[in-house]
Amino acid sequence: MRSLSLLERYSTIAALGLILTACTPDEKPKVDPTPTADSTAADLSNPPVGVYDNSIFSIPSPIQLGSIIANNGASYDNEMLNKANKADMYATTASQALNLGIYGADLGYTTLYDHQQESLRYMRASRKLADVLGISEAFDDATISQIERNLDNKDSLLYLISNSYRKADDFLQIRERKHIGALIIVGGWIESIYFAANIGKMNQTTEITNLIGMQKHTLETILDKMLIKYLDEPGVKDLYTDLESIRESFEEINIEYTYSTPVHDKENKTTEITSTTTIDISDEVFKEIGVKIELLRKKIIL
Amino acid sequence: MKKIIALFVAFVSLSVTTNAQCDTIANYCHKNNFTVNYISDGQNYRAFLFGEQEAEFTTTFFGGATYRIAACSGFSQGSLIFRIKDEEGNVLFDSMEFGNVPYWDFKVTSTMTVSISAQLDLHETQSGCASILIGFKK
Repeated sequence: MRSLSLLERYSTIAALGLILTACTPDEKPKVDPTPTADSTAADLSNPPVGVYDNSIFSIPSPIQLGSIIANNGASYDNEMLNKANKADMYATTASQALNLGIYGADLGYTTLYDHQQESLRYMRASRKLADVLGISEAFDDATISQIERNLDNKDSLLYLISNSYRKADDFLQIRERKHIGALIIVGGWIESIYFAANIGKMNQTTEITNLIGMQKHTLETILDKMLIKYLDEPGVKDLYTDLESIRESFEEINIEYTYSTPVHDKENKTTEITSTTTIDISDEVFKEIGVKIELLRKKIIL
Repeated sequence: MKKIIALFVAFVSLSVTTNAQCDTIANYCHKNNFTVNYISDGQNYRAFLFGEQEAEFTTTFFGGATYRIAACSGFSQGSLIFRIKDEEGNVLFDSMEFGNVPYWDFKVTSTMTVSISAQLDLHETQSGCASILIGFKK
């Protein structure tokens, strides 16, 4: 019998690996049920999907950052937002993805402040960019209609918007276009930090200081876990370099954590986490971060 | 050559099936564990796990907020164990101690960095798509 070539062997191993990974979760696998993480990764010879590739990362939601800003008593300022009619200006995939993230944060901001007509404009601008990026499913006609019907219901609107961005993220992960998903998330983050730094110029409350200070960790995640993986994709290297410069300022921030035992409430399925964090950030560093973020944002929104 | 093409087709089609399955699980998880009172953070945290493999990521909990974490693998609730640890490695929550509850809420006093990890309950399943969702209360 003819022996298998290297390519055939690889294909056989990969196909078998996928057959195993494609079992429905409730089915029992047909081989050793408890392989170790190391042996599994080695046996599957780096398949395109399947094995955990340490690529999960979390960036704070622009809507959550926006609600911290809104709860902080800052008044509505539409001068801070990117213009909704600029969607057609973004020609490259990187620029479209980053600005879709920026529009997402703007959409969250206008919604949180009950500016429904502006929300609709940002929704349409987001849809335009989603279309050119090939992720129209996340902002389909049914979702847009639902949003139009719920314009007076802020809670439903926020739910629908965040769900649209979640669907977009999901769609990009499935189609192995994770770098576009990463750029959308980073765009939303940049816009949110720009809002916070801008509002902090006028009124630097503890909440705003903490919000900015904790981005030290977020920026580490963005650079070291997200963007580092996509440096070969167009536009990512420049963004990485700009964010590296912002990281230098974040490194001046001191964060101290004190553990405290959490309190569980089984009946209400709730845990109260009472540990505390102290964030020390000088006025100079706060301003410097604001200036650097503003410059980067200008470069992105054109 | 035909063998290679056939294997390649199987490889690609099963890859799509697996991903589509993860997609369906994330939507199932969202539908069953979140109400309109919780806003998604806009991201899906997922990994395909085998046996004792563990998926982990870090995130920020902001002080004064209440978060809901939901964890699913497959279409039965409670087959994914999730743990939350602080930056020093102290376990703040372990779903196994609460009967593999599929979701739990966290009231956070002070802004902090936490790590969230997920592992299959091997009594329920040996492999599958792990999906974790985070929402915050309005």
